[in-house]
Amino acid sequence: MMPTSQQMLAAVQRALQEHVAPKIDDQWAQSALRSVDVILNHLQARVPVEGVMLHEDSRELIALLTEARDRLSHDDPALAAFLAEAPALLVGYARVDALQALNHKGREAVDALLHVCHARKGDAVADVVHADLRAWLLKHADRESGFFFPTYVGRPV
Amino acid sequence: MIDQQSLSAYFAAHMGGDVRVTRFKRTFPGISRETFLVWTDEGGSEGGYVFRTDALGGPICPVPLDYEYRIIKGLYPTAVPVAEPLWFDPASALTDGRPVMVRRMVDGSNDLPGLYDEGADAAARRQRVALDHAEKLATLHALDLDATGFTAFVDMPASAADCALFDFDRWQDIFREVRTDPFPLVTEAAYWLKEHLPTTAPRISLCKGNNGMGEEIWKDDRIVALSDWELAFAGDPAQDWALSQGMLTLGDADVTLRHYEDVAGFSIDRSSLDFYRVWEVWKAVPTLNNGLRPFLSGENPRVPRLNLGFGRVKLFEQLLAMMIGKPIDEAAHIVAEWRKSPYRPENAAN
Repeated sequence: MMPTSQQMLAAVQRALQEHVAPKIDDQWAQSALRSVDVILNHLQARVPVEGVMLHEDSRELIALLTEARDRLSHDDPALAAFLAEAPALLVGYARVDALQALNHKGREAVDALLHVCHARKGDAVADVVHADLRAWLLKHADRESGFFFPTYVGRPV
Repeated sequence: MIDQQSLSAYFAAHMGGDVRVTRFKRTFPGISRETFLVWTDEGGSEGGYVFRTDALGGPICPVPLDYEYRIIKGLYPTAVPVAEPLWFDPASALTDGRPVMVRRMVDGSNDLPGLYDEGADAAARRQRVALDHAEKLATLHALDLDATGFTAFVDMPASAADCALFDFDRWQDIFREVRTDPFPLVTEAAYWLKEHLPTTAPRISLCKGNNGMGEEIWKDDRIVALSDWELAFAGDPAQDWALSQGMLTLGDADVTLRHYEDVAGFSIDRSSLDFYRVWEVWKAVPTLNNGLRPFLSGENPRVPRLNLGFGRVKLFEQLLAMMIGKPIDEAAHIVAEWRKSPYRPENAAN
């Protein structure tokens, strides 16, 4: 059985903590090691689940953005690009970098739609779309939460 | 990398041939810009200077170094304590074209050993330190910006009532220009914050931006130089208190603010202070995210850029997600809890 990426990252981290950190007394070196430690924590949280998370997140975006486009009669390049690419990419097993790029486009479309909704605030249709977008934003933040909490809490450098 | 010989030649070229660098040291931290303490021999006497340049690929905060230099130069003749500015070099060969500013070194330290000791004496000392900082901020905030020349180059709100909206609009432009990600949640948070912008301010003041612990030079528990002016702006003085890293929790916050108000001659609106505490979380996103750009372009692919420009930014985005839609005083409470060390934002929500 192969060790997982998570196990390998943890082993690298352990080696640094056990054998390198105790021998370092220079502030810059200590800071660099703290930064590396944080990144290793982040990767251990992110690597095993990022693909699944992006897949699920982007699948929800297809429904959300299609409905928003239709309800608001609004289209823009990011939205069109996302809706053109997403279904085919999500059918099979996509690379994580491709899923990241797709999700980025989807979030660009969400960003553009938020501006549209705020410009049309008070319009019942726009308010419903806005509520849906906002609920997705919080869900997306929650999905990513484990990548950044508690990893990046603490000393910044 | 800067070496002693090149640095010596650089100082001699600017100050005359009889100057020789005897030692130099890079200060820690200094991720946005690189700062070096430089000691010289000048015909038998020792000189001390602070040499500051942009980090590779540019600073983290999206503000040019010459802006910081002009702020310090404008403050030097006033009662606000700053180090003497000596020269600005827009594109030095020593730093491969990066800008440089040089100030005279001030005798003091950004560290106050023993400040957080236990006991009544240490607590009284902390309050004294907080009051001294309050006096220095009051002196800064009371400056006449026309008479001191700052209105010539600092972006100015049209009126005191416009301070919050002006800062908000300025940072929306910066956000759109520098962001490396769509950050739709940050956009949504901006709309939420816009609904709560303060509409009054006691005056338009020159504000320092980040201030307080770790930002200033102290000697005998008094500030001898307010340092690090890259985020200085014209606005509501309450905003500076929202950025006064650790100063309001150093002693009794009410005592500190009342002392400030006595010296300054105007009051800080506590609800505005709450708003700015939350607003500064939002502003941290574009400020830090700008630092990721040289990482992504390959100009500065180093871990601090990654952690500040990406990890911390995403952490602040998470904090905004916790606060969005809440009353501002409740959101400000979350920020206050978050600022505590060791802070745990997930606990702050409880």
